Amino acid sequence: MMYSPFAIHGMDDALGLKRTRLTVAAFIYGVIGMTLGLSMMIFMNVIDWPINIGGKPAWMGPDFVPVTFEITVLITALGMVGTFLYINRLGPGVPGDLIDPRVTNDRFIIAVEVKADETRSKITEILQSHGSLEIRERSK
Amino acid sequence: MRPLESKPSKLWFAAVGITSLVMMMGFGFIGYLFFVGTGVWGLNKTVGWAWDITNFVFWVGIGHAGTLISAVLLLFRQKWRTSINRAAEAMTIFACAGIFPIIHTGRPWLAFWMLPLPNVHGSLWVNFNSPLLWDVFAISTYLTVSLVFWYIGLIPDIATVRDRANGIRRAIYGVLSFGWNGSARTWARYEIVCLILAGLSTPLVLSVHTIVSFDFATSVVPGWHTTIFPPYFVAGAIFSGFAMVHTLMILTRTLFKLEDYITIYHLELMNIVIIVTGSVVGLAYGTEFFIAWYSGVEYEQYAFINRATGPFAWAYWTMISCNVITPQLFWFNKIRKSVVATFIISIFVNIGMWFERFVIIVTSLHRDYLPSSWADYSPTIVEIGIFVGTFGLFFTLFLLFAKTLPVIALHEVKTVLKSSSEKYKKLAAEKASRGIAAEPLLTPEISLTRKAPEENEL
Repeated sequence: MMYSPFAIHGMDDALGLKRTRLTVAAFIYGVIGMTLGLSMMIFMNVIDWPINIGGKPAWMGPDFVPVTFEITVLITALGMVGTFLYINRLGPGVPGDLIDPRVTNDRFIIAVEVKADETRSKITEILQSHGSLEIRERSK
Repeated sequence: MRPLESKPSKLWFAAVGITSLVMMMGFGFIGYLFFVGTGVWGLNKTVGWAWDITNFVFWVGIGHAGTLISAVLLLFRQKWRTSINRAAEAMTIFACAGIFPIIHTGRPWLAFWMLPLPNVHGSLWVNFNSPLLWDVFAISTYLTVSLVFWYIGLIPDIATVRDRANGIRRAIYGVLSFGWNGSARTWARYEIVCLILAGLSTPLVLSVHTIVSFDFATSVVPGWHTTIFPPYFVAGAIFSGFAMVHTLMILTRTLFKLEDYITIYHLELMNIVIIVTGSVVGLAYGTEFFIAWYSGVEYEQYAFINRATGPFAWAYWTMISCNVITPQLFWFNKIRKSVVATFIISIFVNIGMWFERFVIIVTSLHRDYLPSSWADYSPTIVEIGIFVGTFGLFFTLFLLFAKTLPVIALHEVKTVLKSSSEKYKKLAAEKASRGIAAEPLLTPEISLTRKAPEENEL
């Protein structure tokens, strides 16, 4: 895994990470929000208690557009952020697994999980030959 | 980082002292309003909306630039936004337009009537055909989404502050940082979330002021009953928002010595946005007059002639000179690049945009269809006090924010540092002249701190 102080474009491809499915989640939240908003208004103003305003019909499609839009955006935004925090195990007061305090400032870190002793020396060699500033080991 | 990690300066204390005094005064007037009721305002039967709604629309407009800068410019991949977006977003949130309708009811304990809750006398619901109710949803959604967007942007920066601090500061920033660790997987998801939030916020920004303009445009009052209002209000909002960003950023960069990050180049680009939106607003004023004449509706024609020549002509011409004429000075290169001139013009635009709302609201209302109900309007001390107080609240919150949280989006600036910073450019040029590669070759200083083998069981 790679740790950095800012986002680096293309790093997810380089590490072979799967493309995030957050975009699909966003669409689902959007559909839920739209359904909720629209059905709330239809229930309140059309089914449960239609108000007669100058004889106009209770079901007035265009009038429901702004609120439907706002609720869709609201549910999508909150749902997205909630999902993002949940899958990354982020939240107020979460201790977090910080590999080195300097990573949030100006250091870039490559963390390699070593399974056997012979790969350890090989990895150290690779890292050294590419000019890494510091190599450290730690147990999980 | 410097403003955060140093002790606050005397200047900062003085500024917070003044703004919080003004804020307390505003709270005093608001308390008086709640105690007595909206009768303490200068409203009458004819002019039933005046200073209060003007303030509301004014602050909503100011709240526009923040999300516009961060969302729209993110989508357009404008790198220059990085040093101003954080402060602009904070401005959006502190413009606190959301509380105005609640203050303006004069009875805040009944504000829940605006929510879609069943009525005690049977289930009579709120009326979703009313633009005023759309406003409730638009403003509260906008506030929530802006707040979330702003905080998500802050998390990596709070983590930076956390890891540079120790003691109690470390603990507080640790809780606020949500356990951020900067791994590539988190960053990849983070980028997607920010992109989607930006995609959501862009139509949201445009929708909020469109819906605010519906409050007026869907009525039949001459001067309000026009389809030009949504684009006209949105352009005006961006215009006033950028002006307020200028006012704040110039103060911030002077107060916290951030001239290296918020440069003349940033100010100049924002000035160009101001020329464009200012001209759109000017065009809208002209179009309104033209349509009033072209439509042949005498009430509409009277409303506009009365605006320019009637009892509130002084407000109209203040608006024209501040909004249409002053920003045109930015066509001059020297003025566009001058910090002092930009600051002065931004104040003018702020004043002009307040008067725009005042002109639209009061001049349209004070001359009714029936001459017998014509009336005049003048504000009372309570209305003025509340308005001045909101400035106190706004600046106090902003100053506190600038002292406790990173006012510049650190992680975003880091991505453009090497390619745009003057210092790095100079370094690279120096090295090139001495025939050295631009990137220094790092000598590895390896500290293989191997732990005892038994601890290394993975």
